[in-house]
Parts: sequence; structure tokens; C-alpha cells
Amino acid sequence: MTKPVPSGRSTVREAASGRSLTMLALSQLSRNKGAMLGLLMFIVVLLSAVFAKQLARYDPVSIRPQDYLQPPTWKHLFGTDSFGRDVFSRTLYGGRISLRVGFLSVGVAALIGSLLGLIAGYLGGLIDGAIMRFIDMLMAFPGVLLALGIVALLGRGMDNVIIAVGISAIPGYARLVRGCTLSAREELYVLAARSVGCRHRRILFRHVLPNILGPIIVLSTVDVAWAILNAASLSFLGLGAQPPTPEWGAMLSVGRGLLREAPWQTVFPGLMIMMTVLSMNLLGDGLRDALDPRVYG
Amino acid sequence: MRRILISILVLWGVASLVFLMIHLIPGDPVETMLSTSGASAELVESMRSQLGLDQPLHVQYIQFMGNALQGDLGRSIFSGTRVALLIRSQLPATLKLAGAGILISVILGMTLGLVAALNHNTWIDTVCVTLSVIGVSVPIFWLGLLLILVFAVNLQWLPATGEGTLKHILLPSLVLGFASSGSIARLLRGAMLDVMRQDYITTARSKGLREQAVILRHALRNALIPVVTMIGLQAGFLLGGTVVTEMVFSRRGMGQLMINAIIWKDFPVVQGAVLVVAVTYMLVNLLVDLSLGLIDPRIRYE
Repeated sequence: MTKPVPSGRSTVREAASGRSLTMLALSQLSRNKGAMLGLLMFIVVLLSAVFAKQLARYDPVSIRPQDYLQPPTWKHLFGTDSFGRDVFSRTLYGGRISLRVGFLSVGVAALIGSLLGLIAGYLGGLIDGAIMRFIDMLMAFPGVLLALGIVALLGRGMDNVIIAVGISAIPGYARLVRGCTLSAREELYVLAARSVGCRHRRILFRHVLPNILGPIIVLSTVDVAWAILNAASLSFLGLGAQPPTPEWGAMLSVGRGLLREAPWQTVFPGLMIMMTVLSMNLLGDGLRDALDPRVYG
Repeated sequence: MRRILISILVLWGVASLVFLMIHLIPGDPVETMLSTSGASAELVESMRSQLGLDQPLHVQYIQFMGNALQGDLGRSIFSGTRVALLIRSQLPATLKLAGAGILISVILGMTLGLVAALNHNTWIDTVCVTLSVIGVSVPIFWLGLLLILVFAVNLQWLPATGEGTLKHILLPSLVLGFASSGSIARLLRGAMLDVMRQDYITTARSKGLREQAVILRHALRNALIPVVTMIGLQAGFLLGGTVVTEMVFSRRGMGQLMINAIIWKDFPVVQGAVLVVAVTYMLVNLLVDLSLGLIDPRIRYE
């Protein structure tokens, strides 16, 4: 993947010609082939989820015994499952669940985590120490284990999976935002804002936050991928969506028992999980490159 | 020494969180635990006193910590077996799988990253980068099922389930290894590209060293530092990933133990298993941090 890096002079000229840094980052992003592929894949997944009702030819949950385990045909693009349900229709509806889980859990995590990071980084001292030690503890639980433990507490179900995945994403934001805030705190514009008598809250949200938004966006993008993957894993383990909900992980968990007889039940929902996750990862990588301040000096 | 002290502090915090788990359950923990099996009021009462939940919180806390330090993690509420025994019978299988996974991910990830960096901006680079981003994105349970479909169901080369021989562990460790090799490959590629631009590489080349020596002795050794840290972090991913992989390949291990305990609401088992896996993760990372000093003499932990 080649990435054209604008020379310092042309950047200055472009900036001087009135193009904002955001526009520069966007034009940088649009030249990244991987990111554009990711964006395209994401749009496909998004549209197929939004228009699931229009695109699906069959109801995702109603049982049709006469269509028991049909292989993929024009009538059933992805075949049918052991209840005669159309796997294509179920896969489309599954996108709604996965995208909702991904964006909801990461949205809440980004909000809470960033707030904790801002407070810790800006105030420092004892509060910083207390918040960050708590974050360290959460981070001591490896991988999916923290989410697993939280689901164990709250009980099975998709709503609890959203909470669990959300909580286990918080530490990442707290650490990132604290680090950014620590360096932003020393910037001249913060001193300037303080010297004209701004309150802490105004300095934090109007001056510090907008300046550290880039890294938060990058982390959120790859985190959505991670959250969708984790939530699907938990559903696969039988802890998330319960049958007959058309959730990708849960569909794979059922399809697993009929792997020999009906592999299409397993192949297609898994392919959709991978496509969704891949699209967010590619987009996140592209955004990271585009927003990397080193490129602009 | 300071690094070890911090680890002990975090360990204490983790144990406290695990202790609090049972008290954070919405509603009465004993009634929740026994709700799946249906239990009389008497049984609920006796269970409460057996778990010590009728004691004041601080007494419970001291008891929990004291017991945990002596390796006593309580008993399963269903089978009555000691949790420590249950874990001791399952942990080796999980560690073996995770270890095999790490081995494959390091070999695969370093090869991909190194080959990509040395062929920067060619189609080989593109292939390696694509493989590693797929590795990061693929759901391990799906990859596991696909490999079972191809190698066990269709080609019948390898067994889908069971354990004991090298053949049995090959597919599961391959799944885990591939999934975590992506991060290592991406990181090593970036680090190598950075290092190859350094002055000491030019110096090494200009004094007439063979390219192989330049890459292996001068470049790779310096690029390895972030990668080793990443391997420690990947150990966490792998420990979580083994839970899923064990379920896919119907293998014994902490995954089966934990998932069943969660479904049956057997909280002492969940607590014990979570604690042991977290401690394992911490030990791995402690080892990784200490081994950094061997690779880079500039890093010292006082």
C-alpha cells in the first residue's frame, strides 16, 4: 500500500489556502486504498442491515419445515437452516444486532473512558492515581475474560453483552485520553484560556477535548471491530443472543452441530462477521495514518 | 524489584475485584445461583452460611483473601468439589494450547512482518499486510469451524475433536496462532521499517557487513523490543481465545470449566477460574517485562 506523503511545503500551502486540517486528513484518507476498501465494505454491511426488511425475502424467525436444510440456490441464496429459515434473511437481520452492539458499547465506553481520562490527566494527583489504579485492575483481566466475568454476574442476554463489552473497552479510552490530556495540558492555548479566566470545565471540553479527538476517533473505529468480534464470541458461547434471534455468533453456534450436513449455515454468517470487522479495521488503520500528526509535522 | 511490587499490588486489586464479583450480582447471590436448579428455602439458608455470606463484609473479605493465599478457592456449589482441584485438572490443557498458540503466532507473525518489511512496497508486502489484517479480523470460532470443515470433514487429515497427540492440538493452535499473529506482524513490520532508516544501519552496511548480518544482528534486535511487549499482550488475547477455541474443538480446559460454571451460575468456580487466568496473564507479562532487559541492556528495572 503506497501512501503519498505531502511534502512540508505543499502542506503549508494547502493549509494557507484555507483548507482545514480536517479536510487535509480526509483527502489523505481518500487516497488510502485499504481505507477506501474498508469504507466500501462498511457501507455494504450498513445498507444491508438498514434495509434488511426490504432485502430479505423471508421472515428471519418464522419456521418453515418444508424448507428444511436447503443448500444455497437462487431461492435461498445462503441456503436454509434446520428450521427451514432462510440463512440470507437471517444474516441481513443479524447485521442490525451486531452493528447496534458494536456502536452502542463502544459509544458508551468512549464516553465514560474519555471522561475518566480527561479528569485523571487534567487534575492529576490523588484523583489521577485512584482512577488509573482502578483502570490497571480492569486491564489485568486478559482479553475476553473481563466481559465473560461481567456476563457471569449479570446473566446471559444481548443487553448484558453490550454492557460487558462496553465496560471492558473503557480502560483503553481512559489510558489514551489521559496520556493526550497530560501533554495537551502543557500547551500554550490551555495557559491562554486559563489566563483569561476560563473555568476548568470549559477548558476541558472546549479546548482540550477537540484537540485530542483524533486519537479517540481512531481508537473507536478499531474498537467497534473488536466489540463486534467479542459480542459474537460471547453469543457463540451461548452467553449472548438466545435462539431464535438471528445473531451471527449464535447462528454459528447452531450451525456448528450441522457442519457436515449444512456448512452454509456456518460459512455465511461468519463471512459477514469477518467482513464487518475487516472493514472497521481497514478504516481505522487509514484514519490513523491520515490523522497522524507526524505526517503534517 | 519495583516491577514485582507493582504486580503484587495489581494482584491484590484483581483478587479484591473477584471477591466483590459475588456481591455485585443484582439480587440475592444465593437465590440467583440456585435459581437454575430450583432449591428450597432451607437449602438457600445452608448455602448462604456455607459460602459465609451471612458474615459481615469485611470478615468475608479477610477470609477470602486468607483462603486464596493458601490456594483454597472454595467449593463448587453443585458438585462440592474443591475449586482449586477443578482448576488444577483443567489448567494444564489450557496452558498447553495457549503455549502452542503463542509459538505459532510468534513464528508466523515474525515471518510475515519481516518478509513484508524487507520487501517494502512490493506485492509481497501487500500479501503479508493483507494476511495480517485478516488475522486480526477473523473470528477465531469461525476460522476453527472452517478448518474443521476442510481438514477434518472433507479431507479427513486431522481429527476435529479429542486430545492427546500432536495431531489433535495442531488445528486449534493454528487457529489461535493465526488470529494473534496479525498484531505481531503489523508491529514488527512497522518497527523494522523505522529501524532500517536509522544511521547505525547505514554504518553497519558501509563497514561492509553482509546484508544478512545487518538485518539479523543490527535491525531485528532493535525492532524486537516493541514486539516482545506485544507478545505479552497477545498472551492475554490467547488466554481469552483458548476459551472460545476449546469450545469449538470440544477440548477440556478452563474454557469448558468457565462457560459451564457461568451457565449454571456456579459462582465459586467462576471466581476461581477468573482469578487464576488473570494471575497467569500477569505472570506472563512480568516475565516478558523482565526478559526485555536481556534483549536491550538499556532497560533495567530497579
